[in-house]
Amino acid sequence: MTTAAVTLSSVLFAIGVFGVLTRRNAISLLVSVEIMMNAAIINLAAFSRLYEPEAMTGQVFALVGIGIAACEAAVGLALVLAVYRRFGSTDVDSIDLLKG
Amino acid sequence: MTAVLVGMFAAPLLVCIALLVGGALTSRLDETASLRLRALAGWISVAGTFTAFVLALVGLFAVQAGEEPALRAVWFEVGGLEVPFSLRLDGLQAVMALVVSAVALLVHLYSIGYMHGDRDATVYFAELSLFTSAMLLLVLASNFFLLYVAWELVGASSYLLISYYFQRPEAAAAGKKAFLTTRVGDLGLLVAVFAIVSQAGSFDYDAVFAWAAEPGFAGAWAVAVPLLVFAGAVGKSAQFPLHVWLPDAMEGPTPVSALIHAATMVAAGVYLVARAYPLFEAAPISLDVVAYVGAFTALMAASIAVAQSDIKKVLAYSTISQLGFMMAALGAGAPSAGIFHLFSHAWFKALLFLGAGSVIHATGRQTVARLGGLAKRMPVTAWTFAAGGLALAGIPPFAGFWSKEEVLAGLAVHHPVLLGLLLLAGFLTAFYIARLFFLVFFGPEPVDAGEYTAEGTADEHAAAPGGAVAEAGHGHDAAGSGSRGAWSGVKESGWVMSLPLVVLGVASLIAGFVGTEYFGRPLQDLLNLEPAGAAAAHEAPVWLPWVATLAGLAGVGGGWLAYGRRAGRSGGRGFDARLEGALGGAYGVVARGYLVDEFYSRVVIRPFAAAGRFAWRGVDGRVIDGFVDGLARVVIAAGGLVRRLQSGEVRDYLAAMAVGVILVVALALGVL
Repeated sequence: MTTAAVTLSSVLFAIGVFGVLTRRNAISLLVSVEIMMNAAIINLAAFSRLYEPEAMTGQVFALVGIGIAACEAAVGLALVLAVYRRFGSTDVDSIDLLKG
Repeated sequence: MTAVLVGMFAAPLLVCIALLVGGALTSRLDETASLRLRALAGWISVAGTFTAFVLALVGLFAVQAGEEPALRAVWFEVGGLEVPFSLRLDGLQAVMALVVSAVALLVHLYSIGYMHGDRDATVYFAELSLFTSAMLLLVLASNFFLLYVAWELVGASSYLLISYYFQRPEAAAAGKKAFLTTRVGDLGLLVAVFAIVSQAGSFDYDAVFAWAAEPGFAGAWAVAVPLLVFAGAVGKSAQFPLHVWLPDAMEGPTPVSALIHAATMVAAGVYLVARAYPLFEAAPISLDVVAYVGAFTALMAASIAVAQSDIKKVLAYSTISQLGFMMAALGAGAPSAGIFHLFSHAWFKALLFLGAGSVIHATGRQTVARLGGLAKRMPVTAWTFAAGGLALAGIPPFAGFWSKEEVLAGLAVHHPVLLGLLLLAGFLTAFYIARLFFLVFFGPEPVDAGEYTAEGTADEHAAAPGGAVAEAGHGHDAAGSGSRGAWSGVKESGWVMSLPLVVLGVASLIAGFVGTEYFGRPLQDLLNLEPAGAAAAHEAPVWLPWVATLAGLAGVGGGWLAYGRRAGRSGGRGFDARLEGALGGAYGVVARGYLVDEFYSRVVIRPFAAAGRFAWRGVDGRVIDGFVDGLARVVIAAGGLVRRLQSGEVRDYLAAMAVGVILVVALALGVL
């Protein structure tokens, strides 16, 4: 059970990293970050069940993490919106004002 | 008595402060008040100097009655070293204080006439009072620290007064030259003061002299300390090789030349050697140095004075020469003869300068060739100048004869060669002062001033800014019209200028008697300077006064033959030209002071300037700036390399982060 959960988590995280490194659209980046976050949250629930099955600590933390992820998504989307208004695009490769 | 000591230097100092503050306030607030202050400034400073003079007289009488007024307080302490503020009056100091305050009083009075209408008269009198105060402090001090402080103060006020007409570049340069040249000597004195306090452990005269009298005082210190002290004296008293500043110092107003550069400040070096005499006595070789430097300077400067074309330059070289006489006497072991000559010289040289100032003031000229025939128009100036000249020439019974005779007698015993040098210098002295007298006061009046202007040095009044030009306007009117009666407007100056001349003329006649045997030598008794075994100094050969007088008379007679005899017709100027023709290039070399200035320019000033340029362009420009600029270039280049890392692309940063995380995890797991 735990093995399956951890495997799922690892796969999800790897997908997230791949997405972050390969996608050019800012919204896709944001989605990939969300996937990586969810991989972490799965780990919380899985290891909580493995080591302390009676307590619900991991599950509660998972709920809090989902709340935080929602907030993060809201902030991230707001940023993307601001970037789009400023540059007329959400392609992160075309935004390089900090180029040295 | 302490009030006398403090009051003597404090009175002129308060006048100086009052004039400066008053001048600053009124010039901002109220123009009429400022003008009124300017008119009153002279009288205010005369009051201050008069106070000092009266106190000096009181002090002198107290010392003569056997008192020794003294005052000592701790000024400050540094790490266990106590620096005292101490004043006192002994015989030497009382005589010096009297000379300084009396000449200062007369010069202040004279300046009221001379500087009348000058735009900055308030500043002038403030500076003159500052000098008087500093000079009296120098005389009154009874420890080497305070002496050095006052020594520098007189140097600073001398600088201010030489550069008084600072709008003229020559005057500004002369002040700078005087300050820097004397500084070379001052450095010696400063080192001497350090050496004294480190070895003797005290600044006080008495303690230092007690240290010098100890039998263990010998070797390197015993020779170095007096020679370093003498270096200070050489600078201040314009002895060879640091004499070059004094002729240039004639750029200052003439009363300043009379007070500072003839009677008092330049005599400070002589005073210093006499004051520190116990140090010199401990090392006879240092006394020999003093004697030889003095005698050489006396002869060299006297010969230069013969060939000068400017009244004040003649008198300046004359001053250098006479200071050499004093130094020679000090070095020969006759300090009271040196101070006696200082005493009489102060009166007659101040007189000669003030007489020259009177001529300059009346005519607006100071080049000898553009003057002549003034005796009829300015009788008081002419006759007092004659009295001063005879005193300088050493003709009895004038003051200079008695003191010069003492100087020669002091040399007669141990230094026959130097005696010969000084007799020759005495002859030249009489000759050049006779030349000056006959050329300025006799002979034809210059008909056409323009003829001579080419060689004329810048006349002081001609270039002086403001009112002084108007004051000296007579001479310029005459020069402009070129009419036959060139001196038609020239007349004797007012009483404020004549009175000091008359007083000093009388002093030049009688001041010498205080040192003669006919009156029991009260001056020497008061000074009480002679070393124990110096009685021999008075056993001079009987013929000496006769020879000295003969030399003086021969000089005056020669001067009359060369410059005075045919004065009515051609004027004496022809003789200068004949002398120049006979001597050829040598005449020019002498007239330019044996090219000492040129020598310094080549050997000291230009290499120094070259070194400065090297330090500026080479060291600062290349090495230091190069290092700093190079460092900046390295940083810029390194930045150029590193800036490529900043691509500005989010995904590059994320990739770097991912690689970093992987590395950290790998390290944590022990894979790497």
